[in-house]
Amino acid sequence: MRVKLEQPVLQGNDAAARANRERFERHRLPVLNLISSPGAGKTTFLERWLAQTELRVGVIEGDLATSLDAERIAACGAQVVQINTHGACHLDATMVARALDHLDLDRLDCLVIENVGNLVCPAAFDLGESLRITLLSPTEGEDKPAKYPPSFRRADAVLLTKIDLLPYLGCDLDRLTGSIQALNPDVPILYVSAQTGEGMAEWSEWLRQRLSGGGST
Amino acid sequence: MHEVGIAQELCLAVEAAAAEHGLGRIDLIQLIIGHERLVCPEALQFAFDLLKPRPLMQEARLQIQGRPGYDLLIDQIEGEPCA
Repeated sequence: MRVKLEQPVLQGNDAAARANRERFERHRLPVLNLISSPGAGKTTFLERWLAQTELRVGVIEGDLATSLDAERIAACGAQVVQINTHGACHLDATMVARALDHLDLDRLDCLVIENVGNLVCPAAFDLGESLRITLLSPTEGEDKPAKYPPSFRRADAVLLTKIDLLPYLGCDLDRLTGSIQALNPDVPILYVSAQTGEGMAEWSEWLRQRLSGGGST
Repeated sequence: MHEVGIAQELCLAVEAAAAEHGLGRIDLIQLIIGHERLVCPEALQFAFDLLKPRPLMQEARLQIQGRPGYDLLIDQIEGEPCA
């Protein structure tokens, strides 16, 4: 007996993501999904941003184990929930839905989901986010976008982190940005340093404009 | 390895479809996977074989058709009706 289905494999996750998206819209809450490899600087970037933003930002932290990142974010005074996947290499929409029950969404202006450090799997799973932000450090090499296309092809913005290290690296910035634009020609690329604060004002302004429906660069 | 996450979702989706259509045994699952998904067919089969619910999918095998794009679809399933 044959049954024609023609349905998405990830329909379960997609349905949970839709429910998350509707919940966020009810609360008028923009949501960012931060994707990067381990060590690209997601948490440190968040710490810097939380220290200077006037937005009430909540964070969902995703890691295989430990609450180290949630503790760092809590020390910044932000609402935070830690998800430990105990082996899963990405967050999915159902995990996020459970975490939302531990946050007071009405007291937030923005929610950030810091995904598990991984440039492969998180790109495949819609969490219900408004914007998908991919972070990449020049220390990782100019070839990484070409080697990990899904994380860059579907990004709404790319943050190049740790730019204070550029003078000490042999990184060809033109090649790096070119490889990103080959996958995603119009994606905004923002340069930031959590150490020095360079680029953080530009990030805040870009986000403000994007969330108010303004320009994307 | 995102094939494990995909295989988990695949098992849930096929289980639900089997229940909806009265199938008691699944023999074949035909998938359409866009090349942009970067799914390794062998890894997906491996993950599926580890995770598939038994006895419903004990004998089930995957047949993957690749094509350009980002699709990740269950095209068709074959099996036997419930007794």
